[in-house]
Order: sequence, then C-alpha cells, then structure tokens
Amino acid sequence: MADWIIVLSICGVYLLITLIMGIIPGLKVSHSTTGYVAGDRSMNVLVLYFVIGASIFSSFAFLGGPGWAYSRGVAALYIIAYGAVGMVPLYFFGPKARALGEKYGFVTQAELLEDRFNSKWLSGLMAVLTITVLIPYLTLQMKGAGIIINTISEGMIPIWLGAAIAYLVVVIYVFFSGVMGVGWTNTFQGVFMLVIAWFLGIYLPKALYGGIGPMFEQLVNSDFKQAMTAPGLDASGQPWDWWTFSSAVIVSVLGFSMWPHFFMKAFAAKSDRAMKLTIVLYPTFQIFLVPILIIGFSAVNAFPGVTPADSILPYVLLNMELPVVLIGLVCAGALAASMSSGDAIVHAAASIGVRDGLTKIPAVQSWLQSGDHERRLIRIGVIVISLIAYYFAVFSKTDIVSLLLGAYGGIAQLFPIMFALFYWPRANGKGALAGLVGGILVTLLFLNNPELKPIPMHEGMYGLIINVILLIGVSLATQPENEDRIKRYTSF
Amino acid sequence: MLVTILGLVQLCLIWPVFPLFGSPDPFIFGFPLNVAWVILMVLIAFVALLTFFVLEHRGKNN
Repeated sequence: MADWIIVLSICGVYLLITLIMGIIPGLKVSHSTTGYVAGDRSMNVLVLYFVIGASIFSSFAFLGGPGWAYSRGVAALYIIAYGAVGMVPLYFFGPKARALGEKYGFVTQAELLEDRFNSKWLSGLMAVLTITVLIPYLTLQMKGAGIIINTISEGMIPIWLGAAIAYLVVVIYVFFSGVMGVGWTNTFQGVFMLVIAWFLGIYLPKALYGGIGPMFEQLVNSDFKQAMTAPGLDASGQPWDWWTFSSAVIVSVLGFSMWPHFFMKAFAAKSDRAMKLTIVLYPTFQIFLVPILIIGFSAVNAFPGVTPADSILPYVLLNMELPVVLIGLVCAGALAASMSSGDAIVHAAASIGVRDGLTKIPAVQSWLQSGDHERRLIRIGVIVISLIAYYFAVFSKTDIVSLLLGAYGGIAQLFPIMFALFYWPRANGKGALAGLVGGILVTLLFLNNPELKPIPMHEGMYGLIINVILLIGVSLATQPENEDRIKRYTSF
Repeated sequence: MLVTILGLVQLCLIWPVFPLFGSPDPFIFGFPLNVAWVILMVLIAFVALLTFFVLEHRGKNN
C-alpha cells in the first residue's frame, strides 16, 4: 500500500472521531438559541479551557508559528509575548458578562454593548465588524486544511477537495450541536495537538542536533545570530525595531480577548469559578507554543532556503524519513489545528450575524423571536458563512492575508469600549460609537498608507489613541446614560 | 495588585525591559536568554493568577 494512503487513512479516522465527538453533545442541549449559541450556559473548566486554547491554536500556530521562527528567528516570540497576559481581561470582564447574560439573556458581546450604551447602531456595527474579520480568518483555516491534505496525498487530492472534506465535517457538527459541538471536539483536538506538538518539539532537535541546547548553540554560532537576537527580523529579513515589536504586542494584548469567538464563551461558562479558572490556566496553553516554535528553529540549519516559510512543517515531515504512521498523526494534528479554530469562528460569525444583525431588523424581528426560528436561521448561517469562506479559499484571488493583518488592529478597538462598559459609568452611547468608528477609520488609514505614520508603530495603536480621545471627549460633552441602566453594570 | 503584577510582566515583554534581556547569550537550561526570559514571564503570569485565584476563592469559602 502506498504510504500516502496510510497517512490519509489516519487522517480519515481522525475526522471520523471528530465527527462523532461533535454530534453527541448536540443530543443533550436544549433546542433554543441559548442552547445553540451558549450551550445552555453549562460549560465546565475542562471544556472551556480547550475551547479557548484550541481555538487559538489555529493553522497560524501550526504553520505560521514555525514559519516565523524559521525565517524571522526570535521575532516569533511575539506570539508568546502577547498571549502571556492577553486573556487576563476576561478574568475581570468574563464573570460580569456571564452574570449579566444569565440575568438578561445575552449570548453575544454586541448585546452587552447595545444594552449598556442604549445603541442599536453599536450592535449593528459589531455584527459587520465581526463578520468582516472572521470570514478571512476562516478562509485561512480552510486553505490550511486543503494544503495539508493536498501535500500528504502527494497531490492526488486537490486543495479544493481537501478543504471541502475537512470543512464538511466541521459544518455537520457545528450545524447539529452548536457551541457544545465546538467544545467537545476542541477538547479532543486540543489534547491531540498538544501531544503532537511536544513530541515534534523534542524529537526534531534531538534527531537533527542531539538536543534543544545544541540546536540553539548551533543557531547562535551561525549566520542566523542576528535573527536570534530580540526582537528578531522583520518580514523583509532586516532587524525588526523595538517600536514596531512593542506596539504590535500591545495591540494584540488588547485585541486578544476581544475576539468575539473567545469573548462569547463567557456566556457559555457554567460559573464564575469555571470562567476564572480557565483564564488562570490559560498560560499553560501558551507554553505549548514553545515546542511549536522549536519545530521552526530546528529546520533553520538542517533545511535552509525553504519558501514559503509557512510550508516548513510539511517540508520537514516529508524530508526526514519519519515512520509513516507518525506523519499521519502529525497531519491529523495540523488538521485539528485548522478545524478547532474554524469551528469556533464559523459558529461565532453565524450567531452574531443573525442575533446582532438580522434580529435587529424590525420587519423580521418578531418572526425570528417566535418558536425556534432564530436558532434555525443561525444554523443556515453556519452553512452560508462556510460557503462564502470556501469561495474565498478556493476560487477567489482576493488577497485575504492583508485583510487579516488589519483585523487585529480593528478588533483591538473594542477594548476601550468594553472597559468603559464595566468601569466608567460616565461613558455613553455616542462616545462609544464615536470612539469605535474613529478608531477603526484611523487604523484603516494607517494600514493602507503606512508611509503617513509619524513613528513606526502598529496602526492599531494610532486607532486606539483616537478611540480613547473620542470615547472620553464625546461622552463628557453629551448626556450620560440613564442611571438605572448604568447601575446594572456597576453594581458588582 | 494582580493587575499591577501582570502589567509589570507585560512591560517585561516589550520595550524598554525586554531589550535588556534581548541577547541570546548566556544560555539558560539550553535556551537562549531571550527565549528563557519569555518563558519565565509566562510562568510568572501563571503563578500570579493562580495565587490570586486561590486566595480569592478561599476568602469566599470562609
């Protein structure tokens, strides 16, 4: 039997297990929007930990992380530098959001914003922003899955078919089980990925250099020394500057917990304790990025000149004469990385699109809120959003990477507003809207015209400065929100 | 208090603190200094969060 058939069979078994694990929990949750979007608010620490952890371990971590280490050296530490503390805002916001959700029936971030700031515009804007940033994100995950299956089948299975197979599984279990399907599959996928990552991170340096220490020593004593000095190299191979590194870290720290597919999980948490303990344990997941980066470092001297750098992991696998079963397991691990992020993203995008977008249209509002129309429409949304992302992944020539680069700057603009929501009673709807719109526009301006930047900072930083000025200025210049409304958010 | 500690941890991971530990030399347990520094910061963040969580929870039980 050809090796690639064995490898594909292992991936097939993995997909089957994922499918079964995704469908079973759907049998237990209620047939309501709360059941579908927030799992009847019943997620325990184990599931929450893996939902949040595995959603972050995306195609970017498995392919892009080693790629950065391979081409840009310790610049890759950026991924760990923002994740160390990046989830902490949810330690404080999460329990508050959870309690308000339980009391008033909220299941999305935008519902909190709309209620506190008394502004339907904010919720609509959130829906548009969310879908605009989540679709390119999902597209990249699909492409990642397609490329993995295409590479391991030695080109026998085209990318379009590979992406279709992996994401058909995702669509089926997200359609059927909603967030609980995402939860249980991510637990399985998370454990699987961690085992694979640690194994490779220890095995590759050992096999190629005799250990992690000798590997790093060889790197530091080679032409790669500049890349091994923080903050490493930029995308063009020149030494990166501290301004850009530091501002990118800050923007990512602020944006990290604001991603709707993470923040929304606060509404799915069973208790405050479960929510907080998940955030407390999150840095342990962050440590798992270390072996991922080591995979990239191990290839620098052993396999020089591989382009694009993102393909370094599959390249190493195919060129190291590893046992075929092992290659199959690693490929299944990489598929798990793609799918465990893709499922959370498509679920969040569909839920938000319907709940914060369509439900706000007066003509359809009452129909949607009767029976289980809303839940059914979210399910249809899962299919529609997957098809749109699939179109971009397979057929469109649109440059989605540049869209995604702007995404973090845009998402970070939510931070000042979420902070003010809980901690600044004087903030009002006009201020929040002005801050968010101003922040996004400034971010987009500098993203598209980097030559206008006075100093080489991440464009999201400029957005944040304008955002905070507008949020404070406009709020103080206009009427505060009604006191009863504020009290709901400050009486904790 | 927790916010201050975590804020300091974050500051250690950007300019102006991180450059002080930006060199790969010396090696610590086989890792270059800058890699070891980042790992240490993640561990400190974890221990700080865990300590506060345990203290807070114990207080509630009493």
